Amino acid sequence: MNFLAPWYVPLAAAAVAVPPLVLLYFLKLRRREIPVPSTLLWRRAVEDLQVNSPFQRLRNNLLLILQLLILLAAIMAIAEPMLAGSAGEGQVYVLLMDQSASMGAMEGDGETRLDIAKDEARRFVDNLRADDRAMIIGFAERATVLCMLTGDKGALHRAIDNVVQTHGRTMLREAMRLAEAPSSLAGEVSDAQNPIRSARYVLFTDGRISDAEDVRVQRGTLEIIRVGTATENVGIVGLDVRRHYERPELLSVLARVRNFGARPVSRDLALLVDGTLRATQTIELDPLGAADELMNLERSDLETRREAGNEATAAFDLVLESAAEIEVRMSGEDALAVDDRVIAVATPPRPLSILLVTSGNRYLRMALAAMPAERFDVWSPREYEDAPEDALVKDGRCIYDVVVLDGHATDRLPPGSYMFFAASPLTEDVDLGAVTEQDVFLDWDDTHPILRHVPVQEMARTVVGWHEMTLPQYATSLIEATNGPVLGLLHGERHQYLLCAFGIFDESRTMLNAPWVIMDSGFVIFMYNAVRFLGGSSTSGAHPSVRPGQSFTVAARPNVTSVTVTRPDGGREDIPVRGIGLASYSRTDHVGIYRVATGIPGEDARAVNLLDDHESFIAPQRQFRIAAEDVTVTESVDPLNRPLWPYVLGALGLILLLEWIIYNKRIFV
Amino acid sequence: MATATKSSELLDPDFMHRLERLDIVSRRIFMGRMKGERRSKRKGQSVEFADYRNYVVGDDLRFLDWNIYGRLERLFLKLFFEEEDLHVNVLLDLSRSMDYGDPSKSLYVRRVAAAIAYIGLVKYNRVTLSPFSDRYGPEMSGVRGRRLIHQVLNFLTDLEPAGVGNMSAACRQFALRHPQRGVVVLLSDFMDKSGYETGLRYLVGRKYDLYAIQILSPAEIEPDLTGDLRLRDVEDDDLAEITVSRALINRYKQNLKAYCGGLQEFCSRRGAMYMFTSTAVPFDQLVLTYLRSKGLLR
Repeated sequence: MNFLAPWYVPLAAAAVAVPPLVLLYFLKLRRREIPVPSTLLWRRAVEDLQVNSPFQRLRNNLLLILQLLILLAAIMAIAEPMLAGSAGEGQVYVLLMDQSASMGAMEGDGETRLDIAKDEARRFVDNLRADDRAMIIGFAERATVLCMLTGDKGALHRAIDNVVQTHGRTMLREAMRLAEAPSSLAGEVSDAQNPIRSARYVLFTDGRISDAEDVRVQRGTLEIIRVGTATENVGIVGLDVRRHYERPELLSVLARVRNFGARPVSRDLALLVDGTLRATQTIELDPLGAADELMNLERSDLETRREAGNEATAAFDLVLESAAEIEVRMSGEDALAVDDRVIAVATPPRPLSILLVTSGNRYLRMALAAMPAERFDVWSPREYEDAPEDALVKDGRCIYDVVVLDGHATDRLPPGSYMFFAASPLTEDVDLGAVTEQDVFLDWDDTHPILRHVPVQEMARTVVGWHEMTLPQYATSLIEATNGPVLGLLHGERHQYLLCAFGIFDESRTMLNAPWVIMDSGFVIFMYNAVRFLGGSSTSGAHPSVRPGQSFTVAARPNVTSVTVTRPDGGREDIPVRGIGLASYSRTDHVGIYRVATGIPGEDARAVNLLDDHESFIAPQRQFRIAAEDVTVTESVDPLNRPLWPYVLGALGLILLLEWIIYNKRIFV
Repeated sequence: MATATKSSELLDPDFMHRLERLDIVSRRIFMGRMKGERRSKRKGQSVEFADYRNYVVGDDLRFLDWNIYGRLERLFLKLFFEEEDLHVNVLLDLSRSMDYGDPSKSLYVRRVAAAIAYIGLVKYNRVTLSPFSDRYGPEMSGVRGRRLIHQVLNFLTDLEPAGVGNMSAACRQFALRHPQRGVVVLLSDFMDKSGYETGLRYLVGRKYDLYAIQILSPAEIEPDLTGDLRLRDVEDDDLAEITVSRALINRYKQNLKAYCGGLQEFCSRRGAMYMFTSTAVPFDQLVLTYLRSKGLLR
């Protein structure tokens, strides 16, 4: 048997409690006064007893002895006696607290899963022995060390109290790295030399770990305490707010709703624009599966069951000629509330503007002139290079939504979208080599919006030659030939480049290099897709939704050094503006609107939404697989040390009962 | 606890009728003052023959036995027993400690006294009732004849327990006031902190035919106490703090037994009769059975 409390705690309690009890018993005993005919014989009896035994009062005073026993039992309970499950020196524990959105699911008793997990963690801490140490890490999209390795239970309790709900995904990898940091010493240190023994990692979660396959436990063992039983949830898992390409004042809102429970449901979706109700729709959803199979579903099952009637899309169309906050709310109550409401920040309608920089290309000019652009200009390369700054740049970005550069490589590239034919941006690490002819297209991504409905086969057949192109690692290759990428896409923080390795004309600009442009309507489709894709970031109708925990970036006015972010909970924070005029904010733990005082229209707010099938699927996972290995799962904390204090308290109660009986018995004491 | 007592509560008519058949027994023969119904130690003029003795000059010739003179020609004088009255004294302890129990010891004592007094009056004895507590009296002295029974009952009825018992002083007073011998019945609980010995010695020294009757309540014989108590003596407000335990109760009972045994031995050594009774014993049973078996009544 061990005691969790340090040795001096019961000793101090005994020193404080026992002497006063004995003193009180003898000095301040409240006696009943009873009249008797004579005290003559009583006095003699008392004197006789005291003469016979000096300790008679103590020996015969069973009540006092019982009270002392009660006190000793209470003191023993204070010492927290434990029946040790394992002997030996202190263990190191790392408590990993899941703070993700699904932990906010309400359970039957009115508590969230996080509340239950915190209770379990507190019990776990209470069970620690005096020489055990523990560390507490809270994690969701990111991980935070809430309490460093310590044996101070008070500090551990405070850290558990400080675990707050976030709306992020369950990402365990970073948390495990933090957890293993204290026991993984730098350099060549063997386990025997390591002063910190391998730890036991105790994960308090409901499961659904997004990156379970990437997690590695290198030192120690991982145990999982699973919390929660609720399964019924309906959530909005997708939101698309888009302006009509040709009529930008038309706004289309698509909300994808999915039922993750075991019962069919009917829900009303309401569309609110700046808080005003504009439209409602009712949707019917089938269950995702039977109640007993929900806990066994894997991540992949969510994808395969998408078409089974458990998902529906509500479409709203409205005319909106200004910026607005678009909100979709779902009626009804379920276990998880955070996915019942999504918000998007709709940008004002912005007609497309295109600039073609070419030394002469009627095919491109004709194709771009056919685009639904409000403004279409054609400049020569010299005009482009010589143009004054204000003719090209406004509010820190390019005036034109799309700039098509035909065979003109340049480094004058203010923030914006660019399409290069047989040329490359000089600011990026792109290398255009010699032209190779009669090569073969090997692979292409025809699911990409730029290549959708584009007959790439026809392109491959008719394009004569293209430059050997080397793209940086962050680029995406849309068409791959045997000698490298033919069509590449580069996303910068404020730039995007679509790079075509081929030109419309050959290098001498006398011969048509891509007869495709006149032989097939696919060129027009390609240009339409490309311009729409490149111009989409400014004309799509809304800023892309940000996931909780992800950072977002906004553009600030030139020469501004910091901007203020107002969080959904009302908190304010100043963030610095980097040299390129961008400010990034990463504390997006909660869903809602984050307002940024940038002073630029359309750049003053970002919406953070959950929009995650896996977080909305709240049914706890029955079997955990971390890095392809099954992990032991328990429903509640299995005490490492079996606490004995309840038994001590029980004994205390029995002694108390015995004392009561004896006290009330007529004569016998 | 003190309550007014009616005279009928002391003795009811039926019980008085049964008492009339009883007589007080004196183990000694005393000389009385007046003629009574009791054979005197003196030879006198009763009808009961006692003895013969030789005639000496000056004897009353009326008591010569002429028949014997006819046969033996010698003069013998016939002696007859003198019948005289008997002094019956009842000493009642009416200290505050007697006001205890249900029925209270004081009521019990007064009923016993009333019964003895009635028997004495019926038999033309001279009855004296002497209550005492911290002081002696006032007493009712020398009443004789059954017609005075109502005065006796009224006297007893009016008595109320009060004060701290002082037996030795009371016995001394009694012995001084009543030099004539007779039967003395002392009714008390004998729980006198100054001791009973001195008082009893006064009575024994006067050659009274002494009956000491100790009367205790059941609560004194078998205490019904529990817990931590502060006992207050009703007479002198003395406080004794006790924690009741089996050992203490046993020790108390042992002490009580030794105390009563000591009193009995003291009485026996000095020719006095000791009797012990509890107020739980019915009063009529005490008088008609117990006192007769002990020889006080016949």
